[in-house]
Amino acid sequence: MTLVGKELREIARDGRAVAAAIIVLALIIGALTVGAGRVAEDTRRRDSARKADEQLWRNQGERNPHIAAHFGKYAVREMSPLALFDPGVTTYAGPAIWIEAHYQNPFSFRPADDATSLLRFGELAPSTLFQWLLPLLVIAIGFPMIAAERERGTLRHIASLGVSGKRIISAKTTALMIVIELLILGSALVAAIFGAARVPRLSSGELVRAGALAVTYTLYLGIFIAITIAVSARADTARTAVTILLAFWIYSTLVVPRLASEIASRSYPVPTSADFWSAIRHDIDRGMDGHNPRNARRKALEATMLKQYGVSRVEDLPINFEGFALEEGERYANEVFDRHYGALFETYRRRDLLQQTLSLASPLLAVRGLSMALAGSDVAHHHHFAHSTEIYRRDLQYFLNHDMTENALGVEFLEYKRGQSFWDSAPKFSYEPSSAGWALGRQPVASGMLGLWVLGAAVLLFASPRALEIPEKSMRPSRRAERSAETA
Amino acid sequence: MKRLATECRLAASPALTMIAVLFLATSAIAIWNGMSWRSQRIAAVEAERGRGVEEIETIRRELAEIEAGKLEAVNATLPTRFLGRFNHRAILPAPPLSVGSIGQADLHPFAAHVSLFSVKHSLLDKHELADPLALLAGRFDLAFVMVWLLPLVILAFTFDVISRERERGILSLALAQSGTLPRLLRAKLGARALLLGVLIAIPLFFLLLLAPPFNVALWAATLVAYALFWIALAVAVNLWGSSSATNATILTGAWLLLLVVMPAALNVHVTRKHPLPSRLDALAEIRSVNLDTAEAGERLLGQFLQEHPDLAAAQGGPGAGQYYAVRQSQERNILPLVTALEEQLAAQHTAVARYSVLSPAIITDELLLDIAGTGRLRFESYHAQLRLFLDRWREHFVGRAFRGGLVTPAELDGMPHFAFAEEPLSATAGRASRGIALLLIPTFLLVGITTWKLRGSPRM
Repeated sequence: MTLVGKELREIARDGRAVAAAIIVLALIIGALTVGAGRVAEDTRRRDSARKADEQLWRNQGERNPHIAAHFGKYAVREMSPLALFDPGVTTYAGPAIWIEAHYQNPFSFRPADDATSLLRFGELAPSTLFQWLLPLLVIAIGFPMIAAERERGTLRHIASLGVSGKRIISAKTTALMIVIELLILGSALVAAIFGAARVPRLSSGELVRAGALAVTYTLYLGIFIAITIAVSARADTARTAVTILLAFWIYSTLVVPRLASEIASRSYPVPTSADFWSAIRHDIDRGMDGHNPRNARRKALEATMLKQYGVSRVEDLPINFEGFALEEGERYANEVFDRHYGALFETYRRRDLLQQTLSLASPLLAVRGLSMALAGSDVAHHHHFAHSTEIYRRDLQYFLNHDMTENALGVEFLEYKRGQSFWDSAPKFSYEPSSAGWALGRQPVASGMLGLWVLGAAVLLFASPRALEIPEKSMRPSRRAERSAETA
Repeated sequence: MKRLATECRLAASPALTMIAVLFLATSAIAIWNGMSWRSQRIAAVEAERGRGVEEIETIRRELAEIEAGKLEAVNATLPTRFLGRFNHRAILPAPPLSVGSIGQADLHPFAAHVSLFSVKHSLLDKHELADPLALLAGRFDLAFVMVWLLPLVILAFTFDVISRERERGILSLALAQSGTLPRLLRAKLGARALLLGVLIAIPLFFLLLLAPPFNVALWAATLVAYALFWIALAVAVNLWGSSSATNATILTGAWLLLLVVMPAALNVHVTRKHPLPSRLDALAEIRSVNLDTAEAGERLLGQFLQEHPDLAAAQGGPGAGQYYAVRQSQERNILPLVTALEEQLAAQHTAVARYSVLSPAIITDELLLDIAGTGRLRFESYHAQLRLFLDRWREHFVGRAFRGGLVTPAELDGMPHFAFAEEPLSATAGRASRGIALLLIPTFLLVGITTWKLRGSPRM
């Protein structure tokens, strides 16, 4: 314990480390404040948009149900309070989906479309700081912890006091962990204070997610701590240690994530918007097999209905044929959407899975995926919402069309009108957010890879004492020092 | 010259050679990736153009068949029967230098469907289906390598340019050989600048094979100015007389500040100072405006007719004319909302341009994208040209909408075609030279500080 105390005192005495830690803490607090403000503002906007849209729907006046179906509604996704920590893909996915007749629409109003180019540098989110900056802080504080002592010869001195290499390593690791955990706890405290006032209280599911986030980041930073100490224990000089560690940081935070994203995009290409919609239009207009055009489908439907009811004219049917044709049209289009959106979402899912696999090359990739998933701000959560919205859209279309099929008898199609009580009786959209278990279930490979990284880093760390206990090595001046002496 | 060669040999340590090789390999991957992105985009553009050509051919064929009595107008495909569905595909081509910088091109749509019933504010509403995760991660292109990784390579080359000799106790020896500290510094920096110049030149040479030389030259000038800033910063930090480890920490901190913290903080500041009216709020407003007006019924009727052309055919021509009028009124009603939004966005862009002085990385990034044609300005120009084109399109077809009846082959022959007009090179060059001048300001300041510091202690 005294050894840990000595290490902590040394870190506290190191002006560089203290300054860096203070700056990082200030940045995290700043990012949390910004995040809380953004979530509060977004929640307000989304709530008011939802209410305004509901009012519009109720007060649209007397009109034909199918015209109301074209007017449609908007489904607005609620912000998860945890998005204040990790906004994930929120900026690139958009908050709302237009529910209208005949079309399954994607998310609209991506904030990224209304942003300056600064956005592409990355957002000032606490998660970004945790993923990028804290590992760098670990490196900045940890790189000289053993290597510098070796250079100064104090390592040999400590060893001569009978302290084992194992104890030295564990004391240094523990000290570094305490510093980082203090920072995390400090920022969590600030988050609780700032967040409580501005963001709705966390539900029990969200608390579980927050807990899982804490564990994820502890493991992630643990990996960097272990690697830093292990490299410092093996490096001849502090200079070598910092070079290797910085190279690792650049590689794992800057290079691999972008490269992995490109590899995933290349392996599973998505159609362009133009290709996608023209394929959908083709399937609806000419039939999914290309030989069943819309007109023919309508004629066949008409023939079937006339035969079923034993009448010869559409006007004599006991149902409104226009309404029924609309119902059938929706049913056919839904199959088309299932096919195309199904393929698109499957492509996104495979990309995500490939990136999870590629996190074998960088722990950041694994943590990024897990963090967004737990914060409810990843692509899967957006799809979860889009899926619920689509189920609702189909219910609503059925409700509106079927009303005409059953009730619009003996009137001109457009003359059949409904009023507020009918709009009020339409199905309501309610969204059941997914559980933490569901979120983690979408990240099986990332969780496994994070585990592998922890294991690998631990092995590296536990093998470190051996690098210290060779007495010759700690007594011998480093190779670089020898070279310097020769040059001099 | 001999001294420079010696310094080059000394500077090219195994570690730095390794870094240089890795940097070149990374650049190669980035260029290859940019090339493959551009060829995919070209294929997508061609597919979209092909669909446009196919649609016009179908209409011509069907018109001929109707004329010959072989086809009933009611059975023709939608665009022939119903003018509102006749789209012109107005395309923004991928510029040649997008092989170096994909920039914002993966976010922005590259094709708009312009029809008689289009309204100006929603010409580009259908955005690409790009994976949000890929957009968040960013692209691995040469601009990324140069803006983000080049400074790190420069810092690796220069962070201990003086401190190393000092720490090894051989600074006085080196000074004895070269005379004064400024002279020693010139030799060491000359060697490093030469090596770094080669690192920048090799990827740019490959770009020369793929893109217009003038744009590549502007890129080269920008990158040299950017590199000079980082070298000047490293020298200034070195002369402050700290250890190599402290230099490394300060310079890494500067890199983080300029590339990560500053852009993100600036983004927060700009969006708070010039908040955009929420699209969501605007949406409710737009929808309620439409409901409240007496036109709402007609508008929705028009929309309905668009979805149900068989009924529109029964209604004859005036339906299309009426719907056209409704769309025009809708466009007018929504104009103030859209203008407010665009003005705020413009204010944000102005603020970014003003504050970008705080980070050479922001200036460089904006410049590289602008010169490559994958930044904001070329896209805005596309948007403006689209709106003008819509006017031409309306002028050509509006008579037909009101007269009713089928479009004629002569009307198809005379219809306008969209071709994106690139801005003159002089305009790009003008903006680039202003940007490069901005990049050089902090560099000159740093050089000034360095010179002053050196004058204070000529022999150290």
